[in-house]
Amino acid sequence: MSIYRLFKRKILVFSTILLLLLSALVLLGFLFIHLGYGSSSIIYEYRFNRIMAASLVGLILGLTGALLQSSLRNPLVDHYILGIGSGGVFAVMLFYLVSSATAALALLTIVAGIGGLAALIITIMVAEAVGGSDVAYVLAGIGVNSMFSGASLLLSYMVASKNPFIAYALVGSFVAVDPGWIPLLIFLSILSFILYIFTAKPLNALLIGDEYAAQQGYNPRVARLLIVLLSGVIGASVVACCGLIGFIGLVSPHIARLLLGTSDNRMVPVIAGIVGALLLLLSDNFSRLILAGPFLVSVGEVPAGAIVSLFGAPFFLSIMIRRFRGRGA
Amino acid sequence: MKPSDIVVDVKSAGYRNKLVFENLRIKIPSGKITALLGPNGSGKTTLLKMLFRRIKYSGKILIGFKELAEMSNREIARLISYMGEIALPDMMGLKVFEALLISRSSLYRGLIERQEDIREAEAVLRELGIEHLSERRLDELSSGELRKVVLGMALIKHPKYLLLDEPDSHLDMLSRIEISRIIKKYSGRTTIIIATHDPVFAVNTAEYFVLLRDGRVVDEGNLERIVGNKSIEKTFGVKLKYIYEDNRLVGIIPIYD
Repeated sequence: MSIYRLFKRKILVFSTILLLLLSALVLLGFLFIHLGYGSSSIIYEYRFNRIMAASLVGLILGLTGALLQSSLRNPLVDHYILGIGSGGVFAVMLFYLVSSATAALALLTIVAGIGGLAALIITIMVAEAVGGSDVAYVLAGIGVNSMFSGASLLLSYMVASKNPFIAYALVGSFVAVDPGWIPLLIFLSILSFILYIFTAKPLNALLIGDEYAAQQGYNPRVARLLIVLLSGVIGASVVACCGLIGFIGLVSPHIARLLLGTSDNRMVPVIAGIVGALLLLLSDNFSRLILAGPFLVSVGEVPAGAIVSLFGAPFFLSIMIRRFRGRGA
Repeated sequence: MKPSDIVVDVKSAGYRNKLVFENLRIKIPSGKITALLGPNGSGKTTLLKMLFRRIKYSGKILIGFKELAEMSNREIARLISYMGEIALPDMMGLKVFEALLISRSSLYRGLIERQEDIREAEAVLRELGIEHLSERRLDELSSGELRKVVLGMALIKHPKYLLLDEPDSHLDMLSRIEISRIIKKYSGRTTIIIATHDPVFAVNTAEYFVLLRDGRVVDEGNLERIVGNKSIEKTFGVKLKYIYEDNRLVGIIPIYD
């Protein structure tokens, strides 16, 4: 029996416990702060919220990114590449433009989800119309992404008077995270975890092929579409909180697969979630400190989304090169 | 008719823009190896896929006295294994052992496999003589090795009905003989249907034959009958020379003229 086989169950059990513990800690910390124990210290509250938001968003993006990649059988996609994130940002901007009042955060989340869904449907339709290959998805995603990004940029000037932080939505940052986001993000994390539990087995079957999945008792088309849409919507809705953060959903599943040495969907999404949380937390810290620390050039900070793209984009390119080198395409 | 026979009585079946079968009637005996023999495009794969509802049909298919249309997906998954070409998850390697465990996933609830499933996977590896492949990735295997693994993935569910779509494709002579030998080991316990366009592989593996051409049954029966009726010739439209050894049909050679 190989080492891997021996540890497989343990990895699954361990990561589940770790996740549960983390969520318990988050909940405890949240309650402490909001019941008044730490509320005298603004810094604590601010930092705590920021750390929580970054890790939860990372968790959601990593986990749903893994589900997206597996269900589309495409290692080159995530919410950013497919244009889902931009669709979400666009919807949020549009919402700010037409509504004058400050909106409830839950409503904003739903709006972002709907925007993401619309973008995803366009991407899928275009990609499937030209054959549905993995490159077709990337190219269709780039088109949709540019369209919604451009529109969002335009809108951002119009709504800047209503929300001065809105420009951050275009690059992704945790500067302006409201504490009210934490329970929403916890809710979305739980949703994505539930999605993972119900889709791990069908995704494994889909990995081996549609006919194979069918004889295992799944309807491959329905299963695939459902998983893609649900993981897309959940991933899109987080842009309402922190704006467009690319590549976390792309990189984390790859790191998870490397760590595990397998693409078994019973483990990859969980580990990808944990990796995503760590990556985004690190990036956010880095983005907060980079200007203050080594360079001491100015006050302020770089958006976390920029830091993520800085290492995410080369990673994406390297996956692409590896994927197509042996194929002559 | 035995209670676990498969009875196909289909008015029409096929794809959205192509009708493959019209008024198809076949009875497949249980506990035996049946070969669906016919040229490319004769409807072999379509017939196999109909048997687990992958292809829509109008009419009746009875699987052991039970109407296929009334069975649940889960029931079908437990009863039937279908194995054709599989997609290789190249981007994210899957190991042979994992593929075997995944193939048992319709048998247990929850996410983690039981000890029993691990034992079954090890037993299948032993039975197929591929223990050394256990930790290899699917996309690193040769065609022959992959065929055996795919066969293992079908067998590990202990299906009552095993549908094998061209188990002999892309294989060298020795591998074909090995696959044939493995399939024959499971005859009796399992009702096996193989689709193939190689008469030599069919006659050396199966006990019952259904010959298909352009969606029609040319003939069905045991070896004596289909050889006596010259049905293989009619099915493929070629002249054949049969080679016997100790009164056993061992080879079929097409005559080029």
